[in-house]
Amino acid sequence: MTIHFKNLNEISGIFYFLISSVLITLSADDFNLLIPCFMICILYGIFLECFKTALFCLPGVILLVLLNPLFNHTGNTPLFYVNDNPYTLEALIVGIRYGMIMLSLIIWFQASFRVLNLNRVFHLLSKILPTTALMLTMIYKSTNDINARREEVSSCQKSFLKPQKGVIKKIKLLSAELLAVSQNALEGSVIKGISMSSRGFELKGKTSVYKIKLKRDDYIFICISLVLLLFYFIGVAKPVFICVFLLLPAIYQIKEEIKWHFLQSKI
Amino acid sequence: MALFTIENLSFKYEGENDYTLHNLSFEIKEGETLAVIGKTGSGKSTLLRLLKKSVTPKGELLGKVIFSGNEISEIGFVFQNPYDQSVCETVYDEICFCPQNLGIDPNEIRRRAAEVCSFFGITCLVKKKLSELSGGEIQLVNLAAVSVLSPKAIILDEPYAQLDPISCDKLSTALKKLKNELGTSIIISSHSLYGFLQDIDRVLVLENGRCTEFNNTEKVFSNLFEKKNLLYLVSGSFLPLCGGKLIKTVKDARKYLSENKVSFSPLTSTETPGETALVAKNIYFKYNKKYDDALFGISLEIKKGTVLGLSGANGSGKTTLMKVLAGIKKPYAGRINSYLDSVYLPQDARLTFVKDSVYEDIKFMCEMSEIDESVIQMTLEKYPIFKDIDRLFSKHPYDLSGGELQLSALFKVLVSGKNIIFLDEPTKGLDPYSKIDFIKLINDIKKDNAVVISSHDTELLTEVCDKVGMLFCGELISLESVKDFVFKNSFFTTPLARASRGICDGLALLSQLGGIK
Repeated sequence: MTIHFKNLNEISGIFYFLISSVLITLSADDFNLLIPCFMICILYGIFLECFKTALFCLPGVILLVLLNPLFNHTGNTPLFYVNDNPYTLEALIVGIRYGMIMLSLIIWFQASFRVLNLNRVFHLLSKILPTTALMLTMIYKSTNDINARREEVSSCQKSFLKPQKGVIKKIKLLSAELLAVSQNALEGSVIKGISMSSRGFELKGKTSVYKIKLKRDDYIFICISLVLLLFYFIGVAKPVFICVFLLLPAIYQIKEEIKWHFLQSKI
Repeated sequence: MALFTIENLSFKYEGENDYTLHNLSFEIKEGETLAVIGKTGSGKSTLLRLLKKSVTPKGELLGKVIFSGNEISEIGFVFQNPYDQSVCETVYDEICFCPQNLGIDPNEIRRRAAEVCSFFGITCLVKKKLSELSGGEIQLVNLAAVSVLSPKAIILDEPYAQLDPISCDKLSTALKKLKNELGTSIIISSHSLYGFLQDIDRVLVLENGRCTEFNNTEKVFSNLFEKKNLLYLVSGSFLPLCGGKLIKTVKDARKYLSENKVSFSPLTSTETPGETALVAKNIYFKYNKKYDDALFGISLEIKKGTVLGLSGANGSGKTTLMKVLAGIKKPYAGRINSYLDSVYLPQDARLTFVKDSVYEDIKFMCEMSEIDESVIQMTLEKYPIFKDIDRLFSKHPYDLSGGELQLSALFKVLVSGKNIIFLDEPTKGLDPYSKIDFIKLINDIKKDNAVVISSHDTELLTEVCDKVGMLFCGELISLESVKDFVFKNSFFTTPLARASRGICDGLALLSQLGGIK
């Protein structure tokens, strides 16, 4: 299943992801909220294939979880003592909570990058801050270019040089490669700058081809989200409402699939 | 009516002592197509950039460039490297970039973008990201992006330099449409005009910043041929065939050959096979387990003292095969037995250098690979073609011309002591002089090494290779002698072989006519 906001405006998407990331952070104090949030994030991570960064960060997060009780000694249930300081169960649990929050947010932000059309988000921004929006687009675009160049430079060096032994030699080679890649990127950015200026980037009074008008679907989506949030903040069955809120894009997608299925059967 | 009037134009870059352009005066008429040709570093790019104020480089300008109109909307500029000049993420945004900056009404922009996409036949690319497109497609998008406001003139600085022949053809077709259907003036600088030659009205030849020829196409190329100036090769390979008379198409060349007798020496193969350098058996490779195979059951043998060519369309797997054979990528099935060390030079030879000067970089390689620095001097003495290379040693690799860059990169290869040399599109963007030097260089170094060249340039492959393999969808569909390759193929062959087929069989290269050595 691919979750997307094809029929919704980017404003709805940004609204949803901003609110949901705040909710995930707020759930840190309550395991009844945290566990369903964490599970939903993992589900999204699996469906959207965006848990690579989280997996990469996992050893670091586990290390932080284990190190936290060494510096934070609050709690009544000591598990063991390190230099006469208690390593408490409570401090370990706090570490686990924040570790889960960190992993959830990493997956959540990656999911948002997958689901939202960043280009249109930048265009939304271009109405207010045109130069900043273009700079963000360029940075986003050049990240991929630089990665490809880094790979090419690195494979060239691999081909020219004998396999490097020793950390110092490896660091020396890596720094030379990075310098070469940055030089290459800077060289390219000079041409890009000239190309931009030759096409009137410095002129004032820009227009945009993108429409930011909200549609009926957007209003419905935002209204449902607000109702769910209202119930959440009143405090009635918090875990249920947070789950429904976080699953809203999936529910919306299922609704679209059913609608499409019936449209197809009519055809 | 004159669109551009250039009066006594001289230009000197900031911080330099010598002038790059000297006292140029000429006019470009409305609707005219002008080609600016010259050796690398002759001042072509500088001249083109001076025609549009917003891309003018910093420096001292004497004389005048007169253009009546709004230069932002009425002059389009396309740069050499298709990847560097694009700004936005998607094709549609790139096309709308300029009109949005000019504050044109969004509905008007949408209409113009739709029109221009249909005109250039890129409607299917509109929603794609630029990073997903090939170099040729991006260059077409760049052309569409500058054409969206129907400019009076479009300036193209070596637009073919980074493209393969098929993409070059597509770009030429688009330029022809612009000229013939919209009456746009086109000012183009290039090292190869074959395919667009029929549509060029006048040619300006620059040598060391001075205009040496400025006349109609036929006269300029005939004069260059008479003067034995190799820049005539920019027009394609038919000039020496008929003693300097400009023939623009294969059809005209066939007509000439059927009416006149041409004497030529047979195509010779200089193969002197040495020891086996590499054997590959049944190689299969894919970039990702979800993707299809990029290489499919390839088997071949590379011998020392020979040059193997790889030909095929874009995406057929030439670069991938070279990377796999060079040991940069690992096949998931099959076996590669390499008896000598391999080295791979990418299309952009600048990427092989990681230091601020050529010499520093070679020294760095020696240090990292534990090679004695005396090898540099020994290589200089062993290969006479590198006798002048020390003048390039102090230069930054990014300041070198295409030919100088290839020379420096090959020198670095020879110092590295690796004997199987893989070269990816080595002559892309080289001027005729540098290309001939490159051919000499390959003939010189092949004695002690095995060389593999991947190229779309069939003339280069015919000139230097002993065997040529043709790839199609990741499969090596043929591996034959260069004679069989050039005379059996109908499309992947030299223009001269196409022209001579069935009339005077056996003619494929200019060097057979005794014109160029």
